[in-house]
Formats: sequence, structure tokens, C-alpha cells
Amino acid sequence: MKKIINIVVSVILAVSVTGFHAYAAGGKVIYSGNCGKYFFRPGSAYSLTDLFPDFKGVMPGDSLTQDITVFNRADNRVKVKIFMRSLGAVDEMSKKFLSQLHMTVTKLSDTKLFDATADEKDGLEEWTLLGTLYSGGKVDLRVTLDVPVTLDNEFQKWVGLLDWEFKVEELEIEKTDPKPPYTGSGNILTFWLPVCSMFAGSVAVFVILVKKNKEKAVNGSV
Amino acid sequence: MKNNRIKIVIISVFAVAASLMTQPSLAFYSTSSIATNVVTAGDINVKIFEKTSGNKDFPQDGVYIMPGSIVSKIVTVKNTGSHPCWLRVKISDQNGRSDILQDVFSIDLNYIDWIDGGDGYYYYSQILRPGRSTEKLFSQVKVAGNSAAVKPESVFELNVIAFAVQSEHNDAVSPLSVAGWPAEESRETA
Repeated sequence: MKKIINIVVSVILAVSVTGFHAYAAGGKVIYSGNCGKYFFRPGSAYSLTDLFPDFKGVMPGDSLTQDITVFNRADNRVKVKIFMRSLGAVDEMSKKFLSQLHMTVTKLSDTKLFDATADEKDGLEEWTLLGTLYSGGKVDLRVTLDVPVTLDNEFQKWVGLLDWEFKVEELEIEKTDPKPPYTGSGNILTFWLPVCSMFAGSVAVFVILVKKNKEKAVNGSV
Repeated sequence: MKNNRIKIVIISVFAVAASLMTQPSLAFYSTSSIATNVVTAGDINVKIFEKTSGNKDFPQDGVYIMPGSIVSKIVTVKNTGSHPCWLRVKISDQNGRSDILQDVFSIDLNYIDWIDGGDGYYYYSQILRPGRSTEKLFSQVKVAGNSAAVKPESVFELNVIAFAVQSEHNDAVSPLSVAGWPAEESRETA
């Protein structure tokens, strides 16, 4: 019996470790909708908002791919338009290094948004709409990085910082919109219950006032 | 008068309810945030190890030698980086001359794992993986017995200089045909 338990526990651990590894592999932008909060995952020792875990220790001749998923985790009341733009290399050292590398950014199953050296802004100079997302929706981006085989020795251990800005516009759900999935965010309780209570309370006060007025009128007439 | 008051109350109730019901459309806004993404470049790192036959570190200050004596000096190179590499070494004196091996010293070079390139370098025959060490380059140095160069109070250096280049995207059928060796100033010396 103990053996079976051990095996089961081992399998669960192995699966959970593998699962965690798979989860940690890609970059993630999560819009929580809570006071406009964004979460950038996984971050790194260089930057807490780093979306490029797979672009570390790049070597001449490397052709690397980084998948990034942008999630809308805001509640059901709104849909969001998510935009992004590149602010380019953060400093001169980053610019010098990133200008050696070629980068593309593509919205999966859609158009190429960026195709230039990594320090440039290219098609992402202006706000670019990634998509209109309902609660639970997501958009997938694929970033490729090509390191020339001729990259000079002086760039060993260099670090390049590249800023991307994300913007969200929250919009009201319209009647013509598809019904969003229930996210368990408790909309009914958090919004309609107070409204209904307020309305019911007001009606009760109104009824009491009318009754009192009637009583006064009856007493007056007597 | 009473009717007016009742009307005001009714209107107020509906106004409050209506304002609450339309609240969501007033709360919509836009917000932005910046992600600082990072690309880092890798590197190639190797380290030379010199040991004696007792597996002790070879003395940093050197050893006293006599004509004809044999000194235990086991030289290996370790890949201390995170990428595989090709490796070559140069053996020379303090002036960078390789003929010290003919005039003063002779070594038992390991020709099984190392290849004499004929260009002043000895090439390791296989790719050196991260964390792995080479087979020994040589294990002992013999001082010439009758060389005119070996005089009392003379000081000799036997330098081993290692050069490494990435093997990824650097296909070669032999280490002798590998491209991209670093310049002499970027080296690991022992």
C-alpha cells in the first residue's frame, strides 16, 4: 500500500514539476482589471517585468523563439482593447548590443508587427492594437531573435534592455457582443445586490411615508 | 404640497437607482504599463588546471630544477562556461616563443587526445562540453641535461595558453578547420 502511495505521489510530483516547467517557459502579460493592474511573467534577475526568458545567454548563430501570451483577466462587465508599442532600447549600451540582433514580432495567425534590428521600434513605434478581448480572452505573440554568426567577441556577457509598453482600454459590453464566459468574479453579488437593496429600501421608505401621510389625513379629518 | 413632496421622493428614488445602474459605463478607463525585456549574450569560459602527481596544485611560484630532472606537471583544461566549445592551446616561454620545448624542456604530450596543428597550437580532438575537462595535455616536464641554455640561477617559464571558440553553429569535421578562434589577447593562461 505504501509503495502504491509512493508511486502515486512521485507521479503527481513529476507531473506538477513538468507542468510548472511548461508554464514557466513563455512570457505572459496578464491584465487583471483590478485598478488597472498588469502582471508580467516570468521576470528575471535583470528585470521583474522581463518577458524574454528564452533570450538569455544567446550565442552567435542562434535563432530563438519566444512565445508571449497576453491575457485579459478583468471581470465580465467589460471587454478590453489591448495595445502595445515598443519604446526601443533603454540605454546606449543596450542599443549597441541590440542593434546587432534581428527581431520579429508576430501576432499568431495574423500579421507581422515588427521586423527590424532589436533596438528599433519599426512597426511598433505607434500604439498597435493586439485585439479586443473579453474576460478570459488572450492573444498570442511570437518573437524571434536571430543572432548573426559574425557577432563580435566584445559582446560576450552583454545585456540589452528593451522596453515594451502595453495599454488597455476598457469598454462596456454591448448587447451585440457575444456572451462572455462566467469568470466567478461575483458580478451579481457585487453590483446588482446593492442596487436592488437600495431600490427596495427606497420603495419601503416611500410606502411608509405614503402610509403616514394617509394616517395623518385620516386623523386630521376625524 | 404633500403631492409635491411625494413626487420629489419618487423622482429621487428613481434617480438614485438609475445612477447606480449606469455606474459601470462611467468607470471605464485606459491604463498602461511598461515591460522591460532583457536579452543577454552568452560567453565561453575555460580554465586551465595544473596539478602534480600527488593531485596537488602545481606551485604558483614554480619549482627549482636541475639539468636532467623531471617535474610532475599535469595540465588539463575545463569548460567552466555553459556552452560547448572547441579548444586549442599554445605552449611557450615568457617571451611567447615555442622553441623552449626544444632548447630547455621536453614534455610527454598526449597525442591521443591532442593534435599538433603544425601552426604553434595543439588542438583538443573533440568538443569540450560544459563542466567537462580535457584529457591531460601532458603530465611531466623533463629538463634538458646538457643544454647550454640551462645555467645556474636561470629562470624559465613554461606557459600554457588556452583558446576556446563556441562549437554551436560552428560545424567542422576536424578541430583544425574550426573558424572564429579568439585573438591572442583574449585567452586563459597558466
